[in-house]
Amino acid sequence: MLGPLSFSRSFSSTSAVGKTYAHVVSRRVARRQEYNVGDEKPKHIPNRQLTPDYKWGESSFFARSNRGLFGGSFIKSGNQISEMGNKSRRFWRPNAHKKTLWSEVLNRGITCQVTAKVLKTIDKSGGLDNYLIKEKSARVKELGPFGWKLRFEVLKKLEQNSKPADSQKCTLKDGSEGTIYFSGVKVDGIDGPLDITLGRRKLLNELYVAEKRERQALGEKLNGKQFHDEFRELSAQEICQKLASYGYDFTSITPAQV
Amino acid sequence: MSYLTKAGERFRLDLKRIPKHRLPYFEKLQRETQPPFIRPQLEVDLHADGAVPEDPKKLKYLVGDRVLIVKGAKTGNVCKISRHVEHGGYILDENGPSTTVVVPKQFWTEGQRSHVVTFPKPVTEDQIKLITQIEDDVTHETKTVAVENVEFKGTYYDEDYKKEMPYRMVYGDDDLVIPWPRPTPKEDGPLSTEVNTVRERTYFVESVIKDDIPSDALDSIRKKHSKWRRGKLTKTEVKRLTPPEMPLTETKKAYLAEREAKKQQPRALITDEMKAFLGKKVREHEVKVIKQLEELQDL
Repeated sequence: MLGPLSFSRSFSSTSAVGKTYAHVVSRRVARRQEYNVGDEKPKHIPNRQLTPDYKWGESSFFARSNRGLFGGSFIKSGNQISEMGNKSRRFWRPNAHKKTLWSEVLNRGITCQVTAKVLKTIDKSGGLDNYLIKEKSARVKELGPFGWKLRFEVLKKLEQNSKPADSQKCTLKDGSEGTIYFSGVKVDGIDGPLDITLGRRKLLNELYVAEKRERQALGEKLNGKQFHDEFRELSAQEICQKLASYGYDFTSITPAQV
Repeated sequence: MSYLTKAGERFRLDLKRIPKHRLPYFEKLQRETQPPFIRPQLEVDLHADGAVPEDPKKLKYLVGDRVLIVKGAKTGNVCKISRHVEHGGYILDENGPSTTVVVPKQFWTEGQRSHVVTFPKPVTEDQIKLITQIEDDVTHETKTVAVENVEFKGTYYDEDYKKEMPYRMVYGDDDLVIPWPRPTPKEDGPLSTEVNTVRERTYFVESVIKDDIPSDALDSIRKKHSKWRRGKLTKTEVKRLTPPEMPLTETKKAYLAEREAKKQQPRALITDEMKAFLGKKVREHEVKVIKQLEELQDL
């Protein structure tokens, strides 16, 4: 059993190893408002943000660090002391250089400003991708907004790559080459599973035309926005099911019968 | 449309923005450029807002009040206030001061026969004193007196003015309330609505939970296309307002799977043997603590 006094570490005059990221964690980041369907519209609706929010926000000073891999280092200041002991203010910039780093996952070079220290870390972690996708919170802090954006691109690409390729080539009715995007789609009222040679977006376009015709017959109006709100979340099978209910001719979007 | 824009408003001469030490120049300019029949009779403070206030406290004396002139050529005359003018002026009745000016022919009014016209001259607050009737303490007779100054305290609803009015009393003597003069009653016009019709209550709230007004009728009551109504968010708009999620890394996925697996594991069961052992240890500790306490008490 342990006695009244116990130390997990031995005595040491130096502080614990590791950066504190004081400039990163002390930033004040505005809380993002959550919006739900049916809430009152805000005054301005911006274009969709393409990358996720970076938890630590952007740096307001030494803004160059927001546009490169600086590993959490910022401009520092201190005194230049002469032989006579006179002090004059000076500063030290991070040792940053413009480099093109190869991303194995994205299959392209990424040109950005990167500090010598981060270059070393990238080498240690075995490439840019590994550097970017490390899960430790210290790594997330040192990535900065630019690194966070790259991390999103890499992870998205990895996710895409992990999915099995379900598209296969086929011959269409008019003799041209096409791709089967959804195979074996079962639709009530139609014999046998269908191989659909249209992607989701084009399938939705087909449904829009059919749906609009149907609504017009009922004396109702439907615009693209309403359609999008109502049908955007349908799966390929559900879209085909709806098309079938309107008597859609599937021969034009299925491979030619051999 | 240039005459409708307010773009040049900032560069226009605004006397309120002129510093005080430069004002005399503009006052002189105004005096010299205006002919006598247009020139204001009162001393005008160009910095102040000269509009006639609506607050009876600021007006001090209302139309119909009897006042004594204490300064100027007509000192000692008792007049009635006939109207208020800009920059804190009171126009009195025919007993009040007046001025004679020469008016050019193009400004003549209908029926005018002479170039020389007499106008009533406005007086300021310090030139008049309010006149009221009070009862003498000794003889109990009513006598007419001029009041040095008045003050305002408290409010009441005045039926004739149809608004909240302050009590006006002799300065320093709250008992001597001087009533406001009665305004000339306004006659109802052809488009007026009768008071009783207005006051008649026709709508009663029957339920706090349910709205009596049918939802279809709301558009006719509230502005349907008001600029303040921004509408409700749709799915597409919510998507535009929401940033994408960061995909999970393999490490994170493995960690979450492990955590989930741990949650699924059954909790460790404590057998009777374990319970007995733990109980024994606790009992031993308790006995030790009690013994220590007894030793302390002996000391």
